[in-house]
Amino acid sequence: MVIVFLVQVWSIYNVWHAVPSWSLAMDTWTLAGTIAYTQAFALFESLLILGLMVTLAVILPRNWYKERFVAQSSVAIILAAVASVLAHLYGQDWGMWNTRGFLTWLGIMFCLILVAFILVARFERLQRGFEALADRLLILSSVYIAIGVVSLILVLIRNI
Amino acid sequence: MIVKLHRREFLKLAATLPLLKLAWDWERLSSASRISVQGSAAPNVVVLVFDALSATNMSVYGYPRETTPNLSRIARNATVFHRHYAGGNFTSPGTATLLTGSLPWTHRAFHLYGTVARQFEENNIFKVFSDGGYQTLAFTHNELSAVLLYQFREYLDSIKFAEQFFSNTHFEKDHTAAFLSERVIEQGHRGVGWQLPSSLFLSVMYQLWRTRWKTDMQRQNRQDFPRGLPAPSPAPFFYRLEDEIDWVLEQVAASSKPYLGYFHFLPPHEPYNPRREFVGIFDNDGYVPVPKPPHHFSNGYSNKVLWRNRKEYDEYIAYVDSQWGRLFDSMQQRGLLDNTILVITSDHGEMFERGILEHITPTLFEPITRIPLIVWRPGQQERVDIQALTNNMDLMPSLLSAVGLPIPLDTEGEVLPPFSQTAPNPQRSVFTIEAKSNPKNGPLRIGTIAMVKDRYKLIHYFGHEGFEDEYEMFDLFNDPEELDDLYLSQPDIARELKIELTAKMNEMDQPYEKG
Repeated sequence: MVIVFLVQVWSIYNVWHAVPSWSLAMDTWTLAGTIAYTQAFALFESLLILGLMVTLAVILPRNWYKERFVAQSSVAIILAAVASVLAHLYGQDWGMWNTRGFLTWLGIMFCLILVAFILVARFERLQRGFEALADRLLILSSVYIAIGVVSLILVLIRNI
Repeated sequence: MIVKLHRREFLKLAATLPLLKLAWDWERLSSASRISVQGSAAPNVVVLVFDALSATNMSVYGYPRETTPNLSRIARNATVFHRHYAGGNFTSPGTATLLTGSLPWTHRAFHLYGTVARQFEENNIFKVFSDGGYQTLAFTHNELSAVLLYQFREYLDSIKFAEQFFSNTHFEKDHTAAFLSERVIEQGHRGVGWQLPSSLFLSVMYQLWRTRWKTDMQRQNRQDFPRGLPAPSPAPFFYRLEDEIDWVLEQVAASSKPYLGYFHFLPPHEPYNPRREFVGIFDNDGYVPVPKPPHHFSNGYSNKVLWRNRKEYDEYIAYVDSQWGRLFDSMQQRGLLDNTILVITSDHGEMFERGILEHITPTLFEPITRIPLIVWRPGQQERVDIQALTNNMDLMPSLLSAVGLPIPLDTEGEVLPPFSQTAPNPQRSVFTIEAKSNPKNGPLRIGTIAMVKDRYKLIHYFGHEGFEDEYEMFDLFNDPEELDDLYLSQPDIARELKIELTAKMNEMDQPYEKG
């Protein structure tokens, strides 16, 4: 739920900046279609990240990840999202877009996630906190999933 | 109700089958013969559009720097239009004007990534040539013109967009929406201050891949292109004009039917990155552009910066010119020009003055609006110079007239010499329109319109913040650099032009006014 929430909110926020100029140039049907592609892609991106998390949970030893899947996935995705936003904003200044810079960024992010994993495993209150957060995002995320599914249907209709 | 078919009736029906087959074959044979008749006589048409090419920077039009020696050579047997104007000041309106034979206030493609009004999906150069039995080919480097070409894809036998976008191959049917969303997903929306990709995670990987690929490409080509390979800054691709020219040669050589080829190349659009042999050719040549005071819409560039960019632009034009020469000579050697009309033009110009760089500006001075038009025809023995006012909207009716195809009734353009039987109208007014901040289906409330009539040019700025309703007027014969604004000093002429422009604007807005 945290994945869907973050991916979709970021997508809607950025697409929204384009909507005023699109609405000048397009009719409503094309505008709806253009937004639909972006939201359908956000749904795909969410599923892809979720798939990655689930695969990790299957591969890793049970007591490392699977037992605290919701809390640890939530904290991992929040940290990864912050790192990605920083990369978009400052990647050029940091010289991040070459192999060395990217690996450094990836390494720092991985270390932070690892520390967060350990903290969540050690402190039950922290674990419960992230589980509660995921729980509270359930309704909002359901709305975003619905937006993604409707967008996907719209994309299909436009391409039939 | 079920109709029972008796054996005898069935046999009667079966006997008519050969006749039906014959009728079908006859239709095929007759249509094939129509094409082959056309094929034996109808000329091919090649339209070469070079993006952001200003006539004011071309030596073939009298520019002091020798930027176009090859084009001057080609022009010895061609028709050269000296007062030819673009329909708009950037790719979407400029290209749509050429492809529809109408101005932006009619075709409505005046936005970034704009598409034409629905009626022009059925009324464009590709449709008419295609209906006339022509093979239609199109290529573009420019994503704005790609949006238009995909809108006309139904009438294109072959379309190539230089950039490899997912939407080009997987969403051809719904290209505009898919393409714009793909750009936003990968890189953010172009044209606004805020530009971040709408994909949170995958775009990071994309950015890494794109930057690494760019670096590799630049490294590989550093020897030939010391300033880097040409690449439009927001786009994730590079190109070499040489490769695209070779591709065009292959395409036209392989065409068996008469064809219309529309080839839209990005050079000399920025970045101005020519091959090594053209870098620095105008260093210390003594040429000093005319200094001009900053305009209300100045972006604050100093003359030093503007003139350095201008010099690099001129070098880039010289490089492009070398490719014109190569293309022309190759086509001639292979006999591909024996029955081909060759057109060289642009979609808009480029500007290096008044504190304004390139063409993203609400102004419509000559460097942005005046573009080349050179028409080469087989058998023309000498250069013909046309001084009449012309516009890119005239190209479609002129080419249709040249090959004997009907001109759609609502085309605004006129048939130009040498294809017209009558002399150009000396009282004609031509327009260039900047209107990107208006709704597609509404009257024009914010923008700039330039009207050129005889020797005068009237520019009307309307709806701009702090520049609500302003006019400028220049005498292009006595003041080709547009330095002396005559709007206040010659009120009678200004009033006359203003009345005509206002009437025209009201006429074009009328279908979009409410009530």
